[in-house]
Amino acid sequence: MIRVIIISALWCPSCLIMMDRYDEIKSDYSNFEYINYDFDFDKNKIAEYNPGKILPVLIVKKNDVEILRIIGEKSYKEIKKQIEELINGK
Amino acid sequence: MVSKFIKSIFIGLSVLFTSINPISVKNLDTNIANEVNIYFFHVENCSSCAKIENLLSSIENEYDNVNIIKYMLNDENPENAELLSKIAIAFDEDQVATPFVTLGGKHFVGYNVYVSAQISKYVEKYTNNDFVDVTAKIINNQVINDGDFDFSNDDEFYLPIIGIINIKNTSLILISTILGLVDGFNPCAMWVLIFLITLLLPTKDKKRIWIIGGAFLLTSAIFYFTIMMAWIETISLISAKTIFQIIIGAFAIVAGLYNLYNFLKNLKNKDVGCEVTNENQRMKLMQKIQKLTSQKSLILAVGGVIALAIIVNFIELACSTGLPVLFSQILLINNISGIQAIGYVLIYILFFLIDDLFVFITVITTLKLKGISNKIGKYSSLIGGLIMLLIGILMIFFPNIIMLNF
Repeated sequence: MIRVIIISALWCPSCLIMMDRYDEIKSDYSNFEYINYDFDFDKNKIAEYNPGKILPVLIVKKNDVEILRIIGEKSYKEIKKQIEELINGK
Repeated sequence: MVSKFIKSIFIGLSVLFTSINPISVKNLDTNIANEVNIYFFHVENCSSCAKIENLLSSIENEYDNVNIIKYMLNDENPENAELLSKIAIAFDEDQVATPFVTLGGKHFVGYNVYVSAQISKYVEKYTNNDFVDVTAKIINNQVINDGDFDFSNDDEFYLPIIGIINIKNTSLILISTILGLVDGFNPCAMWVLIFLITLLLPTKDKKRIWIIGGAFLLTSAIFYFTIMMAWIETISLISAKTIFQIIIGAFAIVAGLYNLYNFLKNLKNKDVGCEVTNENQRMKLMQKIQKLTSQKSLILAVGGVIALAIIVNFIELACSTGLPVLFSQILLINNISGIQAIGYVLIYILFFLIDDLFVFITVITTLKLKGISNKIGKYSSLIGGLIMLLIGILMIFFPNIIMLNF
């Protein structure tokens, strides 16, 4: 069971840029579960993920264990490559 | 530095086109150089006079056709002061001070690198081109015509097709654009507008977005404009301009180094995104924005957004670490005031707001919010730092370059 947690903020231009790329990832891996959190309004819920000081943050969890964290602006290709490596066990 | 670069391009092009441009053709028909008289008024124990005297001696050694005629101003030669006063009136010069130099239809008061470069330039010009020796006419009590004076503008260059280019104006437009852009891409500038539009967007009410977003941007522009014009007007009243210029220069060096330090500190962090800073302050502003966007009355919402823009821009002023101050100082050094200053400040503000305008115009035309990458913002501290450091050094050690006198 793979769960993807996305933490972004309404005021953040980088998050706006990344949303389109995350949408592409979502359609590529529709079998994953996706949860979106807002950095400011979901403070209590995101505390356990320790999101840090750079937004947005994408966290991939497998069986509740974090296996990947992608921080800030990354290209679609880069995100896809990292997920593929995880799936193929490289 | 940029202006110097641009100027060298212009000069290069001018030289390239001299063969087809009759205005800049040198008189090569004759090898006989014109005789050029330089009239030099000086007093004893005057360091600036001594510097001009050294310059004139070296010119006299270099050019066989140049004669230096010296007039010492003292009690023993009252006629020299009388002549100088006649010359000053003829040249419409209020400042009758030494060293005072005339040659052909030009005159120079005082000494600095600019004056020295200009004297050398006009010696060369008059050696090869016809001119009227205005001072000789005054001495010989001849009638002087307006056409006898050399009104050629030292800042203007002729370019084929384009025409006359004023180097000073072009350079200042470039400086306004670059400093405005660097200031505008400051990473802490954009978030309020993004958040404001994010909250307005679900209403899909274009008119409301137009009015509230427009009021925010317009207030930001007016706020910046007022601060910069007030600064220019206040500082222009200060008499100790040189000391003040050194203080501003030192401040620019410190701020430039601070920006570079910030850039280097963040260099090892490969993740570029929105940096979470001042969380409490941001939360308070966000609550204010939420309150005003949920306001049903458009007038109250506009009032709220105007107040918000003022608060945010106050915070942003601290964030831009003094680029507007530096820019205003550059205008002051170049004696730019009044309508001209307004023009340059407006160019600065246009480019300062250009990223916000891009976001705003995209929203009102497509009703979609597009972000601008923070990767640009990351380099604004590097470029801003380097520019501030450079301007600071120039202001203190080479003010002539900031005066755009090359």
